[in-house]
Amino acid sequence: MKQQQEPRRKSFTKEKILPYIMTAPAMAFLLVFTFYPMANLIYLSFFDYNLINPNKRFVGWRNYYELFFVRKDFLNALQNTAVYTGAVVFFVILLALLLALWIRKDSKFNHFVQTCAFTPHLVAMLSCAMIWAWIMDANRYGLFNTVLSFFNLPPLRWLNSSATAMLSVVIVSVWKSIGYYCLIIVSALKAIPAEIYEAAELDNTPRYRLFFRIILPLLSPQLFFLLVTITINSFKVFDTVRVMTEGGPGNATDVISFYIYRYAFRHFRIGYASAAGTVLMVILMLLTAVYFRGLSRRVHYQ
Amino acid sequence: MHSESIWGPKLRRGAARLPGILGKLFVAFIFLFPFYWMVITSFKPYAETIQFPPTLWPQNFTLDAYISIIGKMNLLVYVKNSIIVTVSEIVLQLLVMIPAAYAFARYNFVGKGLMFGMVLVALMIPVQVTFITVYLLMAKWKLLGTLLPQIIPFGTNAFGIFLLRQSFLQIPEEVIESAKLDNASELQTMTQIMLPMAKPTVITICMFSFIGRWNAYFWPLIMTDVERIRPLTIAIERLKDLEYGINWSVLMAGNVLLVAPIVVVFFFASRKIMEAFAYRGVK
Amino acid sequence: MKLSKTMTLVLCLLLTVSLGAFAAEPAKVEGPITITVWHTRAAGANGDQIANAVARFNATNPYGIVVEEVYQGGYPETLAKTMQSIAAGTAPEIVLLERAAGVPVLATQGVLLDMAPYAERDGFQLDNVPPVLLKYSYYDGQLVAMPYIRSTPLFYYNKQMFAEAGFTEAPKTIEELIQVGRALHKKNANGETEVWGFALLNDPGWFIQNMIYQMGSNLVSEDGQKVICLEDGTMLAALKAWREWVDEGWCWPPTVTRGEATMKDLFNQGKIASYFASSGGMTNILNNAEAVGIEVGVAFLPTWDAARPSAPTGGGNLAIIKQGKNDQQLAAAWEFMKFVMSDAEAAGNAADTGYLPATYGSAQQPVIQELWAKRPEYKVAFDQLEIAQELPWSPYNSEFIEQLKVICSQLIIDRTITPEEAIEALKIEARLIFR
Repeated sequence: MKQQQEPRRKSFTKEKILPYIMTAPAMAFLLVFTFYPMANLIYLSFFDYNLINPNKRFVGWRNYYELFFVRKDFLNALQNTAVYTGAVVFFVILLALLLALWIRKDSKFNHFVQTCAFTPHLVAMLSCAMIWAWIMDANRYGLFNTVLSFFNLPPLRWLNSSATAMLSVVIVSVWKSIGYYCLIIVSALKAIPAEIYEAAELDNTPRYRLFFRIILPLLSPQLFFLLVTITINSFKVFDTVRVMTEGGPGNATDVISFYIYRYAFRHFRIGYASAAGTVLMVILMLLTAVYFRGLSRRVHYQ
Repeated sequence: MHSESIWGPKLRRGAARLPGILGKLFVAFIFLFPFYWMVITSFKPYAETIQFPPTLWPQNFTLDAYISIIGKMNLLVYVKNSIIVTVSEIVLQLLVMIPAAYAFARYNFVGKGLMFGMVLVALMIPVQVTFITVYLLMAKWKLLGTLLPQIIPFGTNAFGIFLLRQSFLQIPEEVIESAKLDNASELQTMTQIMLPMAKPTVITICMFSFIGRWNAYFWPLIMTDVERIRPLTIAIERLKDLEYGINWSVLMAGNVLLVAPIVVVFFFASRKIMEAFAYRGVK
Repeated sequence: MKLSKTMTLVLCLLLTVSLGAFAAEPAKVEGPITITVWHTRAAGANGDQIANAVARFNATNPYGIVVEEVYQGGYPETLAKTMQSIAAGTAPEIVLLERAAGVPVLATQGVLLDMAPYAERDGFQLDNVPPVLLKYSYYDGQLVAMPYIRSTPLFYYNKQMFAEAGFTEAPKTIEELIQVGRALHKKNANGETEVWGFALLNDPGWFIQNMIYQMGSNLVSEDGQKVICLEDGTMLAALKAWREWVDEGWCWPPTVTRGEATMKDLFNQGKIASYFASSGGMTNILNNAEAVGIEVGVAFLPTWDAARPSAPTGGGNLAIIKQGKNDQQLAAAWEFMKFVMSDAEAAGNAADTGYLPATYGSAQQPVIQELWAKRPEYKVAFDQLEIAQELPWSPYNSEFIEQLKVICSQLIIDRTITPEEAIEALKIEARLIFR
């Protein structure tokens, strides 16, 4: 009897601790390089600290108070970030989906288009920014403005006007990310068995019914993933803004990570920047919780 | 009559396809054009780069920009650093990510929800929040003169874990059951059965990781205090000296050099990627 | 024998004084040592100059000091990295800081070495340095920085375009500038500007501050504790003028990023006739213009008030960090500082790059005299030092000027607020920053 029980106990324990062993390295890195800095950040947000002076001054909630009630630029950055995120999420998912559906079939030509769509992702943001700044040049001869003049529309000032700067940044971001996310959708579309398409054709199912009733639910894991990822990445946007507009004109394209960077890196108000960082993290956590609670039920796994 | 039936519908079908083809070419053009612009600017002399209206092909083709960069800078050191950092990063991330994603997908264990939640939260943290603390940590551990500060903070690829878990979740139960019946150990199931089925995802994650690390500028700027451990991105940014003025051809040439390795890798890898994506799964 | 109270007191005093003198005597380098300098001198002639200077020092100094120079990015990046390295204990011995935005930040924290005792011991002639360049070198009576790569903005103009419009000289006053700007302004059939007579970059800490000085005021009070230009109407006058010039169409409004590069490119395309820019870029400006066949004239900045011409200075100063450093490191750092500030080195620095010769003595060196003979444009920058002025020292300057830039961006680039609204916004910022 004992001999029978021992092997079972061994494999039982092994099964129990195996997942912990498997996730341990990942958790270790996270704890040290993400959560410890986060905790430090929250801690620092209650102080006045400028990096050099080891005597931090405890100021309680003062940084948060200043963030929300004294200065207006944080709320402005929050608003800009929300607008940016909403626009990018909407357009990227819509356009990447349309593009993926269009080039879904296996062919050399489609493969070529797919590769082209992906190239913006490979190029460093600095080059992209400079080229787009040229394309969106504010005077009449900028490429975009020339196109507008063909339709007898007045030229726009693109990056140099607060009315259009955010739009311009969104355009570049969307352009840069579509190929990347399109790839994911295409691979998901290809994983849908061909029989489904064939069956739909046999039944003469109209295109939109095929799309909404069949393809969309099958794509839902990827789309959900895209939604979460793009939202989070958009909230974190930094390089695009730093290189294209430096938050300008005025504060029109100031976003949260740039705000944190400015106050930490240029003004050395680490405590204040930490407070802004903490608020960012709280918002993102709430958002993700909302996504998971609200939408994960509609995600359909095979 | 026979000829009519051959040419008529065929031509019509071809003509019907034309707008689609033109449309796709236009889309490809939109994505490629800036890249094309970058390359041709790098071969123009300064005077031509600011010419208006701009030239679509270099009138005075010159290699001056490249010569000035390659001559002035010891590019090999930077390229070597970029390669070491990128490759080590991918290896490290794979070792960490695959077991973790597998565990999250296949097991139910106490604290799973919390841990996965932590992975998600990690996705949300921008580097602007962590960089100062990590720098101080690296200084304390005396790692600042090495390449490690550019590699180990990113050991956990939260995005990768998320994506891979999703992929693993979509592998049908039957496959795993049949592996169990064959008495496969966990390790074998993971590496020999599930991993190959998630190959497209793994390749995608590696590629994104490669691009992310290769193009990283802000993090290496903070973490490297000496020249010998700096990656290529920093060398290229150094080409713009603000009080001096920007020479577009030199700057674009630098960016072409930065992008070239990625394009080469991507070119060779895209074939594999497309092949991998063609894998249909268990029929 | 018991010492009387007075004697004890006198003895103690003598002891303290002698100990004090002993402690204040700066150390001498005793043996080979390696030190590091962090700088902002990017690739090209700029970076080469410091690399060569360091090599020369390493080869010729009798103590066996080896200096390593490392590029750390632009001024903001270098300052930020220096701050974090001090916190981490990995700071360099010498660092190149922006003269107004960088030096005060570190000086107020007390981490910079007072070089005055060293200067005194070694007979370093401080009066060899133009006083205006030393304005940000002193803090609390201590000598904390030396001018290293300094510049001053100049008026650059397209000689041919000016001649065509009948102007043989550069404008000396703002009024003349307005005339020139309007005369050279060309519009096309749609009423859009094709050629701008003048361009002004969004660098208000330099240009607007200079105008306010010429009006008799300054950005901040002498003690650096409050902003004075907002109440006396000078800031309003300057901003109003700038906005008017842009609204009239002959003054080019900067782009939101890379304004300087875009402006210089437009100049080389013949679309901008004149602009203010740093003398530090002189070599590139002259070379690039030559490549496209434009003859560039260089002159003093036009002044708001003919009786009060002035110009700001800019660029970087070298400072020695004393936090966490021992005597030997500080002594070695001083040796390098002396080397770099010697007339021969300062002259070579200026001649190779276009920055100002940092000392009167270096201006007399043959290499500089030859340069000025060949290209008198470089001499204009040095001559302008005679009328140079500096912003009063304040720990709040850097943050205030950042906000000023943002508000000017709304006023001039975006043009969504009026000058009066800009003043109101600045008042709020001043209240928040100057606590």
